[in-house]
Amino acid sequence: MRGRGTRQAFPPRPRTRESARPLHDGPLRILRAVAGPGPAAYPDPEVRRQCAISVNVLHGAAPDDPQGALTDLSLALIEAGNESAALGLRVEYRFANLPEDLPPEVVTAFSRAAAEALSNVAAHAGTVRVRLTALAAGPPGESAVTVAVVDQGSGFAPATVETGYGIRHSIIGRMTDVGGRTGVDSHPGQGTRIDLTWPARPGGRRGGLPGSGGRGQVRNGTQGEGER
Amino acid sequence: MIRVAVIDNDRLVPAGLRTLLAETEGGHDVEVVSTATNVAALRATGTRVLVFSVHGDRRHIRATIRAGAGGYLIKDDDPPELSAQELQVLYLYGTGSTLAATARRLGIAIPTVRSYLDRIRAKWAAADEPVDDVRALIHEYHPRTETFCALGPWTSRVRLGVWPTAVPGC
Repeated sequence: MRGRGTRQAFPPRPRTRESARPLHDGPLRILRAVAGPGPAAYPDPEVRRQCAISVNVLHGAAPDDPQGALTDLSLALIEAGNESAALGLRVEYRFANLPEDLPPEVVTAFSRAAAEALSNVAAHAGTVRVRLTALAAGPPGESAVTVAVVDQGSGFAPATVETGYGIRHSIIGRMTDVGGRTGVDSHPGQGTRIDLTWPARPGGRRGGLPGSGGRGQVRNGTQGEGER
Repeated sequence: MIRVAVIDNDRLVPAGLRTLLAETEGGHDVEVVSTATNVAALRATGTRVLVFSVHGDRRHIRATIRAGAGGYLIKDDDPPELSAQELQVLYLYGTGSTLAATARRLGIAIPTVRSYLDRIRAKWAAADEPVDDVRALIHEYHPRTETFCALGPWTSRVRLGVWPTAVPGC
């Protein structure tokens, strides 16, 4: 993230994960090979599982920004990817500007909703890659946080399937309960994106009861709502 | 006492710098020189040079350092301003949606999405340095909540009675 005011031009500000390259070329590559699938995969499934989880944690914790610090939310979101990582999903994490002062129940809601969204990708999207981006907007203490879980997989036609328990309760319900909201957008062949936002109402972080402002919606290119 | 020569073709900036330097501990003997010169010529006189510029282009900076500048500070740190549409495209595409999904979501054509992305690249190239991956720019912006809200209309095709039809506050 950029600082305010004058910055020094040297060293150049990295805009890629260059800073994490030694990690990606070294330990992560070995752990990934051991986690499989592939010829180097370890025979014991539990070892493979633990390696996949370690890859997920290291991958998420490798900072994009050398000055970026991990927050409760980013750590919880990385943990939310562990189960899906053990199933073979590769989550690409991006975190920026996250506040440190989120209520614990909001962190939990984000984390569980994201875990459900990621497990939907692992189970239904037909892709092993997904991007999780957590951003905050607004001044400290009043910022709104959005977590986007986006895949480029098969997507779904919401008109033809019922919205499942997972999306309705584990994602939308959880966010609504803490005063957040959820956007679900999908279309066959164009992947699925789930945007979790808290608080639901701009500036709604202070005052207002949890759950009073939150709403969830499913949107799609055709009609109706969807099942993942 | 350190003697500082401020060289700028602008009048306001040296005046501001003179005030700032005078306020620092010990004070400085500030002399404002408005004649344009170059870093190499200054270095030849034994002066130590700190460049303070709006130009953030890496090649420019490298050339300046090669010419002997001891440091280079960039005046303006704000990322180039993007329009509401450009921010929407950057948010959707930058968080991982495909071009097609971004276009459908915003109700625009894929080439239009491409042209927004080109515009974002052009703005960055003009203000700073060329960007390889537009998606990496998502870190540079902290979109206002309204940007997320403005991504609607969410709900025109959602079955009524199951999902609410309005986003509160949007």
